[in-house]
Amino acid sequence: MGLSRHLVGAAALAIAAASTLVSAAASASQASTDSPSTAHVLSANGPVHINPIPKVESPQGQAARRVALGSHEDQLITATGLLATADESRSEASAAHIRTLEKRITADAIKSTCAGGEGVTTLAGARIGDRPIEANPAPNTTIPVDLGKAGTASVTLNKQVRGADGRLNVTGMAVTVPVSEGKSQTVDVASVACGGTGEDASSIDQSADNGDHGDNGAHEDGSAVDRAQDGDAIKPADVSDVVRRDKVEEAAPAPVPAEVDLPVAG
Amino acid sequence: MSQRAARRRPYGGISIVAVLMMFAAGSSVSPEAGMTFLPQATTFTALGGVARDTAPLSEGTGVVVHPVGDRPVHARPGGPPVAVLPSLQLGNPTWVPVVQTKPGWLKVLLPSRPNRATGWISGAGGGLRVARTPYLVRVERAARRLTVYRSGRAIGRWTVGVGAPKTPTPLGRTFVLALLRGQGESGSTVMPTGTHSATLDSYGGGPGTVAFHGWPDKSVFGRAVSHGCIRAPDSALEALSRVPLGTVVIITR
Repeated sequence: MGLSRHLVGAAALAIAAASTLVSAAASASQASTDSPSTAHVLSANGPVHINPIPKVESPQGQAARRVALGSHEDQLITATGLLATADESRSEASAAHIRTLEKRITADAIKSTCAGGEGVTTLAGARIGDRPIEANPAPNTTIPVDLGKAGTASVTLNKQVRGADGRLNVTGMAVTVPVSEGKSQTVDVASVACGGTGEDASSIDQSADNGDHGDNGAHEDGSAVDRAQDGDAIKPADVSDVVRRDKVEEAAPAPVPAEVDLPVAG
Repeated sequence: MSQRAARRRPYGGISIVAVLMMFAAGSSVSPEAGMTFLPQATTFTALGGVARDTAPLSEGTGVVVHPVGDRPVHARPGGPPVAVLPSLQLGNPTWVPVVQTKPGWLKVLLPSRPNRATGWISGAGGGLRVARTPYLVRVERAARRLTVYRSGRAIGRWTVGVGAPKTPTPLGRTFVLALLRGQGESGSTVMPTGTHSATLDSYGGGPGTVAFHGWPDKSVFGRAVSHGCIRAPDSALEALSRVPLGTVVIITR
């Protein structure tokens, strides 16, 4: 469990240096046409809101590295060793000792990395309910979590969404709990983004939430969002338009077997 | 990093699940009056007032959609809701195929009776996850053949068992509804579809759902012997188990 040990060590460092932001190695730059790499470890939208923390963004067009550390504890989620790093081509976010949904979801460590337009999520000691989770789940692996009368949560592991401009967003673990009509509570852990030219103003993210984008705003209903053509305003996307324009980029996830008994027609 | 956010405990001392239940309870106050009393669009229900699929041999758009929360289903764009598509069913997230669009609306196949039931869901306002599946599944009844396609190319073809003459496998377009582990008469993986036996209202206590599943006696493969299900070899089920939910299944003569 090398990753776990590494992150537990990072946790101690993070607690000591919580909330610090280190701007490191601002070495000579070369111009880059890519959008900046970004990383943050925790965010949540819905009845419980957590602004993306800790959050870093590589300085655009410069070969520099930024690191942010932190820890977090509230009724929704606890995690230590929050570590986010980003440079001009690579971003990484990780956390240790993650506990959420009253420990129905736990993990010793979660780490997501985005580099060269490719994303990787690594889990250590992760469990959803009584079920152990493999270390490297396939992109967009979705698992239901029974919350009893509160309904059923959906957990997407290694969530990967590529925008129309080629930018890749990776979230190690994305939890969605329906709480009312069209509304949901979301929790994202280990979110990173890299690549993309940022030149396509109609870049579309069809994901269930948009925590990956940090400042792009809160979306309590888990909506897809569309960057408006005329400026910074963000409006909920009309998904029918996305389909009609053949702009659906997210790959449908492979199914996860459920332990449900349904007598079928034989 | 925001220290303020890190210290925030908006519901300190209260179970987060209880908090979420509190919000869920509020969902009965729906912007669409009467929605609380609408039937759920699941494999267990029969829906009235819904349109049938008018292109039962078409491959569709290749797009599948998952409602993050319960989603009203309308018989026509802008019409009154006739059902609710739940976010999860059979322990799986609900993914249904999009077969047509109009501005602001998506026409999807439904998992309920009658067979080939369709409905419209709003594409606006968020709460939907959309994705693309490169897969397509075809079942040819007369040839007793199952073919799985990926990006238009056949990646596997198997001889399967189909419905007997008195309990035929229903024709038309449906979709992969769920993946269930270790169920069925063979103890194999079971993949229920969105269609049902047209001659059996129920079977074995279930709603007569047509599914892909295995069978212990290999002699059934290549014969019309089932109650409507598609009995498939293990290798076919292994391939099918990688097919995303919502992927279109086309059953032809």
